[in-house]
Amino acid sequence: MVFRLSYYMLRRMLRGYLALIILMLTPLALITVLGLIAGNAVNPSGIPVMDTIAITMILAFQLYGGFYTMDFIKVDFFSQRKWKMRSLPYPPNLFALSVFFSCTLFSALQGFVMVIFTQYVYGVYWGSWGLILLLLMAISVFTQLIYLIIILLVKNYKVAEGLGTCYALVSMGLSGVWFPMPRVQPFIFLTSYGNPLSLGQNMVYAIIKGEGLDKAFISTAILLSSSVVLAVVATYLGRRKLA
Amino acid sequence: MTIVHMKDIVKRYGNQLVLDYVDLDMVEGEILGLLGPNGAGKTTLIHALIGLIKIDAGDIQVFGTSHKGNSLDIKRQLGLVTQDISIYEDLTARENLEFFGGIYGLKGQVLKERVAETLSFVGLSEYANKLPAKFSGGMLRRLNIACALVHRPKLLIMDEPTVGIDPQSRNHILETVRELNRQGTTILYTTHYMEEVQSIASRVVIMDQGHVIAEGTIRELVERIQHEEKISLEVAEVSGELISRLKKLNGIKQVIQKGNELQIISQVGAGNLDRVLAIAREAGGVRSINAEKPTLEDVFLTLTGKRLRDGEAE
Repeated sequence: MVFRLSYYMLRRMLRGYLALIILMLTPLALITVLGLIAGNAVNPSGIPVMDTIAITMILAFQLYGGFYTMDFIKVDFFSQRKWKMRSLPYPPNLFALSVFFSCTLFSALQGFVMVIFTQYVYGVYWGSWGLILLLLMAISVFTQLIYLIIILLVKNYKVAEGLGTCYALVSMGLSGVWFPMPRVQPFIFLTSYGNPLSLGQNMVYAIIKGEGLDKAFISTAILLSSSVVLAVVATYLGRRKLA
Repeated sequence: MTIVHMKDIVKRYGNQLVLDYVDLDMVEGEILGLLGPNGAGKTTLIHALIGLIKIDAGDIQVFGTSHKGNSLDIKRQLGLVTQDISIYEDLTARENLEFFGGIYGLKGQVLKERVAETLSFVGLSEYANKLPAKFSGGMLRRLNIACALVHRPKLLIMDEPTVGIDPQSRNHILETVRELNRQGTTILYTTHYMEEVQSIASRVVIMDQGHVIAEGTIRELVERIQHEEKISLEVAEVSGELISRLKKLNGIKQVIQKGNELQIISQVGAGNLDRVLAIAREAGGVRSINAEKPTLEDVFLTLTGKRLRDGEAE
């Protein structure tokens, strides 16, 4: 049943044109503009700047993908539709699980479409597509769980939206997207492992270059273990707030 | 056969007592009209029946099964048409029905056939592949009903299903309700529109302030106030003095003003028609006068002191 419901949710997301524009066309436009500015420049570790821009943009916009989960849960369980949903012979927490699965998959696939686009159009090298898809799924799971917990914890939707945006912006800030973070602890740890964007970047660079595998393993372990913790919290909150 | 049995239902929200030892029974095959002004407790009672809220006291049995621990089994046999439109605007009419039908366990060819039948039943076959964003208010209401019908529920609960739609769509929906009932569906119908209940309900329950204050067939309820008559009077000018003089007459129970029109509820046989006419003439002249037999609206007014449509007190 979870997969059956997910089919209709995926259809709904495919028709959410505004979200597609924001989460897919905007990063592609930014990659195009910034890539034109960067030209053929190469960074000190030998990776074309265009590639680093594409990697950062695609992973950074994954951090906003959780708005899908947030919006679906709000509409189905925290608006007037909740009475209809609760009248159905299907446990609300399982329905929320369907929302979580479909939003995770959709957001990851959205990122993967951008990966394919940048590889063919701009020649960005991504290494193994299979590993990249797994990585996008891992970041997507983490992000959807964060947004799910926020919507289950915060009653006011505007505040929940604000917190979601904060999560994405703070992650980007910590990863040094806008400006370099100070080279002192705890910023060194936070910049390397303390946010989902850096963890994703560590893994992508390991996939592309085949180097820094230890950093990639630590990043994977952190991302997966924190996702497990978040899943436990989300399950607990979901049973309390939705059941 | 009794399919819904609600006994001594109590529900509080904080200090507010929303349902005050309410009893409600429904018999298989009937259309029960649930009437009451805003805040009467109708929707809370429906939510309690379906098991959407926890009650503070009382017992609810649906299809002979207690709600405790059997909610999903009961829900499979129910259909809820909510007051707010509960369809997905980003799924087509057909997809909406497939989605809700799927949740009720329909699949494959059976699901396809049910979806096609239900769309045809509510007159939306031509719009099956269209997104509801382009639908009129009446079409949205019909799709909302279809989503609650696709699994063929034994008991259909309709919470004000005709709010805010044109008369033609309303008639279509009422005819749909009658047809469903002819096919054997038991229906609980709540509304603010008295004429809807009069046209479709086989039995009526009137609620006010968390209590069931009357129940029976329309005929039984009207017979309760046969000892009253309603005089509708249109005068040139309504003054406080005129109303006060009318209220002082022997046997006058209520005087309700609506613009230049007065509705006077009087005891049958009190001989008040002549006196009312005389007082109104003295006060400036009578434009029209009409004495009517009591209707369901009058029953409601007599029992609650309020008009149903706007919950306005006398």
